[in-house]
Amino acid sequence: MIIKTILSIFSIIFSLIMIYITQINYKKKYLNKLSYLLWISVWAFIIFVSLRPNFIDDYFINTYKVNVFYILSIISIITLAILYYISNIRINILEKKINKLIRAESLKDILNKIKDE
Amino acid sequence: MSSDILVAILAYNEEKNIANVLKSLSKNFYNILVVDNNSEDRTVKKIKNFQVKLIKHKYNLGKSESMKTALEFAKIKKFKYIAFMDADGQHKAKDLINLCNKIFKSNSELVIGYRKNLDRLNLKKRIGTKILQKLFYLLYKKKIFDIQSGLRVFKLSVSKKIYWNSTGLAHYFADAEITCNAIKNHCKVEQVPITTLPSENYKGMNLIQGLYLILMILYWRIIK
Repeated sequence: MIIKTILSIFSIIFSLIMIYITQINYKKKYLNKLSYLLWISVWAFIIFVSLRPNFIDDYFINTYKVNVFYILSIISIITLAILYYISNIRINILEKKINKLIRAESLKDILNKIKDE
Repeated sequence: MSSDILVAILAYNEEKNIANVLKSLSKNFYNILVVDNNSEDRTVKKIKNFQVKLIKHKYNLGKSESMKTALEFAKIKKFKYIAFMDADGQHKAKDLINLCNKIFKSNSELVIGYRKNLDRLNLKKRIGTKILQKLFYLLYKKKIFDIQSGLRVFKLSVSKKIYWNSTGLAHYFADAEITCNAIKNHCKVEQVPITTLPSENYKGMNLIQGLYLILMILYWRIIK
């Protein structure tokens, strides 16, 4: 019981911080309105589940006869893997583009200088 | 020295050493290129005192990308050979001349300088270098004494075969990747002994980077 309460408090605090960070990123226009609403819903849902963990458990056990913890663990791991993969690819593409751009610009500078000489 | 060769110096915050390096090189080489990685000190100012070409990156892209910039320049200007040398004063101009003579005379495609004074390194670095040597021999069946030596010359005609992709955290592994690619693609590789100043004065790899390099060597051999 104590562990459950501690975990709930921890996830509520974490979600509130994430809502704050999402808010800041939205204000800085790093997130569009759709992503902003999506992330806020995700964190709000986590807060709700943390406050009333039995709500989901009861629903799944009564309807599908399965333990929700098991399902959530699998979904979380898959989601994390997908998110990590997408962000990793995006960072690599971005890094390559930036490197190419900076190198091309530097080369252009020196080639122009040599031409002028 | 032949005008077919471009000597590329890769510099980042080397105001203390760059002048001496360029002074020693300009006596013997016609074509010297310095790729500055957006140094924050007076490196660029010191370079401008010499008759050398300077490419300045607007952001620090790391060693690997600087080498790519130098290679691209060499291709545009149609050089036949490109030599890489560190800007920290660790390598000597006379050793580079030896490397160049070797590549001209032996018709090899890549010449790597290796430290002959390994006993001057501290125990940690000596063990690290030996482990890399053994691992490399195990995987590639060729004895290379210093797979990531920063002093090397290669023919531009093999640049496609040995092209490197190390970037980001692994940007210091470009030299090792070139060596691995060259052996894997059956390039003619020669080694020439060089003298380096005591390495305690220079930045080396830590344990984590060493382990990461070992993983990368395995990756380049097995997967790439």
